[in-house]
Amino acid sequence: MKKGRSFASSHACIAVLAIAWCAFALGLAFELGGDYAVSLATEIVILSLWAVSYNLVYGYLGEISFGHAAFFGVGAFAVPLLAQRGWPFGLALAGGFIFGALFAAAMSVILRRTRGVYYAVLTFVLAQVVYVVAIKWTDFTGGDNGLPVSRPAFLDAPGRYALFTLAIVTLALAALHRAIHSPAGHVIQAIRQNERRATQIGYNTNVYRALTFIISGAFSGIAGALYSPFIRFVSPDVLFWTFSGQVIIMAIMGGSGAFYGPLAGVALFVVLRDAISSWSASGTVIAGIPVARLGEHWPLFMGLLFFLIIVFEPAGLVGIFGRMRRGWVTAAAHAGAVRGRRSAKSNPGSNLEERR
Amino acid sequence: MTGQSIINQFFLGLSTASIYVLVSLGLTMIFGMMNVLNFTHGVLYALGAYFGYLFATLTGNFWFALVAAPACVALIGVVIERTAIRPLSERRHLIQFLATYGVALVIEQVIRIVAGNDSYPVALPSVFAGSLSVGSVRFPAYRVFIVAAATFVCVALGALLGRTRIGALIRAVSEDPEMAALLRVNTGAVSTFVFAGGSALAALGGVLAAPIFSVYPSMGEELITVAFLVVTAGGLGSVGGTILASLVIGEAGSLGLLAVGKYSDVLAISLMAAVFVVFPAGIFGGWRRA
Repeated sequence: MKKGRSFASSHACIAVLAIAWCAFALGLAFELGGDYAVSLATEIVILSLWAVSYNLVYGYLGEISFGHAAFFGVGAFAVPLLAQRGWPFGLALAGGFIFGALFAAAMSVILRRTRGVYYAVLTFVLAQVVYVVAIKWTDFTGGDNGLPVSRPAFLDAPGRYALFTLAIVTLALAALHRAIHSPAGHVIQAIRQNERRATQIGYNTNVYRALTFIISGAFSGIAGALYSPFIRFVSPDVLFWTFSGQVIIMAIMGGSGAFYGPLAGVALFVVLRDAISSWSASGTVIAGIPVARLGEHWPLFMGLLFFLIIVFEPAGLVGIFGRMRRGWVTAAAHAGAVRGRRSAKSNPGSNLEERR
Repeated sequence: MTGQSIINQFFLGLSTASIYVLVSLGLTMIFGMMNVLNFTHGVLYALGAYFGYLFATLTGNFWFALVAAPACVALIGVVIERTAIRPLSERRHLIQFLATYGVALVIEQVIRIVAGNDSYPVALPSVFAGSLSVGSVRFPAYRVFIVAAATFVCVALGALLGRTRIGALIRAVSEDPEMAALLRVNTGAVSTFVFAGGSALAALGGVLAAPIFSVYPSMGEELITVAFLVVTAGGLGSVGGTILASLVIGEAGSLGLLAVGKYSDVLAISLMAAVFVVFPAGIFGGWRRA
């Protein structure tokens, strides 16, 4: 555990710069060839912010939120709804942050005494309340038809929007990184490891839990606010629970034990999703099933991959990279240890293993 | 708003609640047994409906489908328990919850690959074509059957758990699995049995719902919301709470239609969310920290 964390934080600045600039370079390099790569990079950057802020709750606080689509969706809706009321784009973006925080604050009041499975289900249910209201309140949200979202003229070109997103997300990630490595951030991790002890030391754990949730919700709100202008459209689909499921998959696949772990998950998720979707155009037939028919069923492969990662490598891609780094000999020994273990202490970065 | 329409809506709500009861009872039983919230429950409900459609169309016999579909889904439940729950039993329960989420994604897509994205209408068995009249109020016969079936299942389940040897074993294992194992109870087999039974209940709900709502791929992901809501509002693992919460949410959705029109879903779901403000662990979950 400790090892994974210190590795993550000592290389934090390098990692964030590297990943940010890779996405940027990828986007720019392909801009001449077409907008596809730019759009792919932009999506990865936006969802990265969402997944990292999600991981505050999952990886650092140790609770599963199944309702993070609510904050992302509220942020996504904030932009067109505030723009309709004459707010400039920058303020509308800030509105995503504010409304994400407000919704998270309201939820954390209800969540104050819940833990574990109840926490997961209650976040699920509360986010569904937001979804049901949004889909029924057609005058306000456009219901099933959704709302068109426009960008200001100076951000209209995909390349410019990609750059803009990258700048905002890098700043936001730096802020999140700073927050989680502050003294308060350490308290949050202490709560995950042993909440009773944290209480005994004198921390008001409910306040810290709420704080984590609100910060997570606020930054998810920014991610949402960047997302709807990116796809130029928003509908209540971004509030539905299956969307919350996607961020869980991304964060865990990447690796919840390291601050930047979710970034790897987002990249894998988005690239894999697009790759499988592109099968729709292929003419290959495997075992009597035309591959083209599988294209739209990418969640099948995502679910399978997620399941395998949960079972065999709870530390996600970060854990797999770690094994490769340590070399194959020790990796084999490690695999033996994992198979034989009863408590998962030998498994760095799998937060959920700590508390049973 | 006449008295008659209120009675009608109340009855419609009761029949919808009956389906919720069947599905949620399975979910809450599984939770009470192994402390795992089973995310595949929604797709098992959908699978039940699809198998029901398949058997009803192949044999032309709705009664056969009513028995065969839950049996098939129970077998699938056994496979899920052996692949996604049992191997992870040494780890945190939330890990099992997430693993079943992965399995649910896979099953839903398999349904879509096999059956396509279309919805299938299921013909009402001819016995239930008419309606029953009580005074001036007429109740659709099939809905009466659903209510009766759910009531029967509740009573039978109560008898099974309270009066039989297998029921005693189930209670023993969910109360204290280690002690039960020491007494040479095959706890693994009991868990598998409960999981299969819970899956069969979800499937039964699916078959019964099919003639009313028809059969479509996203039916599972819609129902799981209600099922989660019901079992947590009732207090996870509590049978009484599950039945009560099903009735409240079914009636709020149905009677609410008269009061607040299209916002009845909002009313139902908000009512349940309000329960959590007062009782974080559900109505019968007490004040303990979950």
